[in-house]
Amino acid sequence: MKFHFFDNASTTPCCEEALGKFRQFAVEDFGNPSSSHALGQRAARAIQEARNFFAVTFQVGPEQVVFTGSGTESDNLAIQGIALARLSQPGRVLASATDHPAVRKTVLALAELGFDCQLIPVDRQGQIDHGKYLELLTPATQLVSIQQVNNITGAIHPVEELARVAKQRVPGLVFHTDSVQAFGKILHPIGGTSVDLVSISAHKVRGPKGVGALIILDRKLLADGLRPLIWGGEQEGGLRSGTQNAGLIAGFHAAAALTLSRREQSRAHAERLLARLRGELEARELAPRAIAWNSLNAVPQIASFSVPALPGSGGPLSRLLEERGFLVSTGSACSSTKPEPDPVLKAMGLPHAACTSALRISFSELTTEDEVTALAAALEESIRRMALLTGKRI
Amino acid sequence: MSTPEHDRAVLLRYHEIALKGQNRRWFEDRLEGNVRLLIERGLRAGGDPQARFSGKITRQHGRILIETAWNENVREALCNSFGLSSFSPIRKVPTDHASLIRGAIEEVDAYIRRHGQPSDFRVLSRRSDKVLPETSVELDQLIGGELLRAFPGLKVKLEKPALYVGIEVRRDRSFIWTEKVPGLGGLPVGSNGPLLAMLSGGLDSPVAAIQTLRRGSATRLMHFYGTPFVGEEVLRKVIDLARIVNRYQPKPEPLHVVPFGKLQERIALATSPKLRTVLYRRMMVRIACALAPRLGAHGLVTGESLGQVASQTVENLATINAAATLPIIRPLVTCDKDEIIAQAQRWGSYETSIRPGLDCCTLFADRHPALHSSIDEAEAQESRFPVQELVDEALAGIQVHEARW
Repeated sequence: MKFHFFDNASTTPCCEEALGKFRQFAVEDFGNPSSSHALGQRAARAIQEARNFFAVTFQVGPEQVVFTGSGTESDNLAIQGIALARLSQPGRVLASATDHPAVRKTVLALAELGFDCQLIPVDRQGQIDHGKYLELLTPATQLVSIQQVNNITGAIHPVEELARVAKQRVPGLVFHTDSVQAFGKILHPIGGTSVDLVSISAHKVRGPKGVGALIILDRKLLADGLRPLIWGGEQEGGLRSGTQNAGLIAGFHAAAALTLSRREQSRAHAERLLARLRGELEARELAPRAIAWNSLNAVPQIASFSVPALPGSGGPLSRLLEERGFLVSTGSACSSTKPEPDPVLKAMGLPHAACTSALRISFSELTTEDEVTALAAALEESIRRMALLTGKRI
Repeated sequence: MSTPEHDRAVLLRYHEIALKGQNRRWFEDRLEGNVRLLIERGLRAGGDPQARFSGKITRQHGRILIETAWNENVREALCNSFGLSSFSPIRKVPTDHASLIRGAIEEVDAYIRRHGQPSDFRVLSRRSDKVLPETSVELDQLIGGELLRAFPGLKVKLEKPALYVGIEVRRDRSFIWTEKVPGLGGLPVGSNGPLLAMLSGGLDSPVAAIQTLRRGSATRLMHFYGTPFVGEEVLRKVIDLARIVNRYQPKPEPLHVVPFGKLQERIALATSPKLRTVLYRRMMVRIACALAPRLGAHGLVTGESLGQVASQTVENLATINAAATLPIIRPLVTCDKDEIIAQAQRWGSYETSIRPGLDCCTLFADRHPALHSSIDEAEAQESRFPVQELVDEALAGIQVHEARW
């Protein structure tokens, strides 16, 4: 079955350019980039070119680009790396309550090492509660991590502003942002802003899975502010040892270059798709009666909504859509007996019925308007079917 | 002081099956066959799918003796075999005083090299043949005395010593052991008729299936798959659970997967939400009762426990039973959740069972289902959809998945 892929926030198909690089460095120029012979140096050169590309993209020196194995690893390197370097005087660490688990769980795990870990509450739109944020920023705060774009709702956080506010209160703190969902969709923070560390990942921008990067915007952190998690042969400036995968890194470079060069047109395309989706759902009398949108200030590539009249229907609805050839994501995880609300939607204070009936639809530049129209029809059919099955009125 | 391999063997002990009088031979056959299959499974895990276990297996005096060197594969196989009370790696020595004493000293020496010096020990003799003049107690004292002389640091303790030195006196060759591994107990799989276990993906059903194996019934395996309303991760989880059940089953059984979501949809469109869970269960029971004879199974096994969820009240279980044409065995019927969790941890299914994955039983069902259904009510609801047609469709749609451990 050929599927219509509406789950681009989870991952994207690898572009041909990236795939070619992966093949080249896997079977032709397969040398170890740490080897001084010709094959090794070809791989090393590709990594250097990728590093320089990201350095220019983020307006930093090449040594401030650290390639990792994933966005999650980048988040861990940033958060644990900062915390471990401050282990002698553990202070407060903050993350937003709606951050990706790679950030949220990593921050909360620091409690075991003596850190005071707190989650920053958000409002019903998923935006940082400013008053609570200021209250939480005590002088003991050492690290704040707030994502740039939420992976479930698409909500945009003004991280540069949030970082500026934090540093006005507590000048010495480090500010990290997970830009995994934002990169390629909106402008990312660059060197010279108040943000200190940025995580990105290749497979969200049509690169290969298994590679990400941590960009150290504040070069002062290079000196001794960040402790590696993986020790060994001193690759990546000693911050991430282990033989680099030149093919994955070069593929990341190729995909990121492509995606960034089309950012504005992709955004305009996504806006058209989103408008089409909203229009179709309204024309079918689903919105606003049955459908509740979960975020106003969101990137157009991610549409999150709930069907509160059908509690617990997130999972079954996504299956019904799949049966009709449309792949979407649910906003809830199913435990063994009952649907559990997604922590992000729960943190936003959405009612249980909305949390367990949420769907996430995410577009890419490959999505067409016709596909969106077909999706809306399948959605209507699926929602009406579920309503019938559960005896609920829509 | 290593012994040649032909002097090494493993001694299996069993209690319950020894009590079974006339049937004893039959039980021993099962046990022996199971152990051989489980050892072969381990050998095949090494990469050779044709590997056979060539060691001789013999029976003597209510014991089974496997002629094999002791290794992790043998230990693993025996640790997964129901019907054993315990087992020991043994050394065979000629039945005379000098050989017994020398053998005992060498085995204790080997024990100390592996585990360090034990705080205390005792000799435990058992005479299967009375070929030596001494009584068991006299042999304990004789060999114990020689061990004390050889290892002056050792102390004798008759109650719960750190080390038992076991001596089994037999006509030609006697056995010496220093390690006794507890077995799983129960009855050898295959000593009772096969049953068909319904696996849901939760904590209870794999435990129920394994408890049934422990009573000697091989269990065929089936799952009602809520596709398209639940995702494939649920199926993968149930296959993983089936593999865990098969770990204890010398002949691994495939998982029979019944597509059930569409059937539930048909029921939901026609019936009251309050009764749906019971109606689903009655359909499952009908389908399972039709499948069981094809697989040679004489009854069903479920993980139901009394009162655990709304569908498991006495009245609802009675309504469910009324749809069955075969006995339904419910090994966990009086277990608390805590007890089931402890069992799941014992058998190694806990971590898999708690993986995310929605149970199909709650699909389209009311949040407050009927607690006290009656057969009449259920039958009235069932008159609204074609029961037999749906059973036939479900049976026709069964897919079989390998689930080898």
